[in-house]
Amino acid sequence: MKQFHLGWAFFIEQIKWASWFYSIIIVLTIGTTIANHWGFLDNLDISNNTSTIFMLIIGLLYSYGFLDYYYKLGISRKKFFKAALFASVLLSIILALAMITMIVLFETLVPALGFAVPWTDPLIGGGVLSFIQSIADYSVAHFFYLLLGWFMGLGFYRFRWKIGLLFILISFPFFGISALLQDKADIAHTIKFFTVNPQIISIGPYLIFFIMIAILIVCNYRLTKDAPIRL
Amino acid sequence: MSYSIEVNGLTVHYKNFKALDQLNFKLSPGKIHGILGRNGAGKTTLLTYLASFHKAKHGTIVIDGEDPFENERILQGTSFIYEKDNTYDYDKIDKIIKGMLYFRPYFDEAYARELVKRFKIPTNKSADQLSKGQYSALQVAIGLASRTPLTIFDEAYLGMDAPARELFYKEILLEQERHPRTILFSTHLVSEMEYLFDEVLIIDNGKVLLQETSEQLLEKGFSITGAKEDVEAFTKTLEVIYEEMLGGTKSVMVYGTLPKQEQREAVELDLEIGSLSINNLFIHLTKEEERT
Repeated sequence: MKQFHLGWAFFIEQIKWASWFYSIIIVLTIGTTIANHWGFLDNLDISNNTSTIFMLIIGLLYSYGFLDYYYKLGISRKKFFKAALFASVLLSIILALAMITMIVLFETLVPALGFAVPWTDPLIGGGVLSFIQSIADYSVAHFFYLLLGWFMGLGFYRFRWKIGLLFILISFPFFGISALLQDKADIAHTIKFFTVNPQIISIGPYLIFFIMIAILIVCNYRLTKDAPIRL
Repeated sequence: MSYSIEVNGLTVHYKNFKALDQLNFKLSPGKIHGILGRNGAGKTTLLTYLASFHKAKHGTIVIDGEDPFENERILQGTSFIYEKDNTYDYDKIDKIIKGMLYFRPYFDEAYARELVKRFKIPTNKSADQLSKGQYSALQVAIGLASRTPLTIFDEAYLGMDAPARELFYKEILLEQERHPRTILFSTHLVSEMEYLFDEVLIIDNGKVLLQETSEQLLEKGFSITGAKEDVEAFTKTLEVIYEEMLGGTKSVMVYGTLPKQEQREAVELDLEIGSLSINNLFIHLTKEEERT
């Protein structure tokens, strides 16, 4: 199987799972909106947590599910890694687009039907730039969490549960830094200790994210390239 | 197309346990090789190394002239069929068969469908709904139809009933005629499958105990039956691997060859000379090893 076809097949498989996930999210959001309208729930502060957790779980399955499956069909570890990286980047972007489209549609349709949008910080108020930035933010966060899940899954797959637990411990700083970076006001305040340059303040969090992503890609490649395949 | 295999000094440790100890052997291409050994002898470990599931740290493995580890060509041409758990395999049988076309260049879809039909595997079900035997039969059908130059069956028949196993063995022989490839069989059903083997490799405690063609191996043993005293006298200097008594009649299994002269002497003594099966030799050779 050619590299591109493998990556595409891998992506399509995950998109099928993602479509189930998004269907459930849509139903839940509609339910929340109705519950909110009838006063059962307070305003819902929507975040990208649900989709990042979905990506984390997908990442956890990369070794136990996909590496194992594809290797036993004659695909080398290196070829799998390249396909997985391609599929995960594409999945992160497509899911970010889907998430943002869903939010925008919701924010447009729900008020027209006489309901209140169940979150406080509407996206459509921010204009096109805010829309593009949200897609970029979601894509980076999705990709990061998928890589982190992949990293932890590899720890368990390669070294079994004892050392696997260590990989969870190693992941904690990554989770912590990511949570900090996603709180824009907080991180801007922290960066101001070092510089007042507005460009650095706005680019800084992305830069740190990309460094962490690069570290995770290198680690995942190193762990995959000679991973023992389990029976 | 078929791959040759050459293993030199392969040693595998699991913590303090030596699973494989300095294995050296060659397997000729286009043959059916029986990989035999008792439980824990190291058969599956060896097969997983041949399929490059692990990287050989001590010793070398050469398949079709190349190092197989992360070798795209060799991996694409290697199938490893073993007893799999189907609990989480939700794909429909039809999709599984179609999917193989993307991964195995020599996969024959029509043949796979024919086998699935003959094994009576319901194609409208998903894999997790199949019984253990049906799922094993599906794996076997895919393994046969993949026509990979190196096909490894590690106890692949588990759960399959006798008629299904019979069909499997028949198809192996037919396929080997139509599309010769290197087939490795690891099995405990030696008596049932020994007629399939062109060559036999016996592993015991992680070491190669014996490697012969089936004919050579069968020539290495014989049975002698007759009056107790005559049998005992005749076999005094021979390597007896098993003996049993029934009244005044004794039957022994001997490891080794019997020259023409001694064969004539046996006939003169009214002793009956019989042949041994690979299964007999395997049982008693590995038992002998256990005793020593």
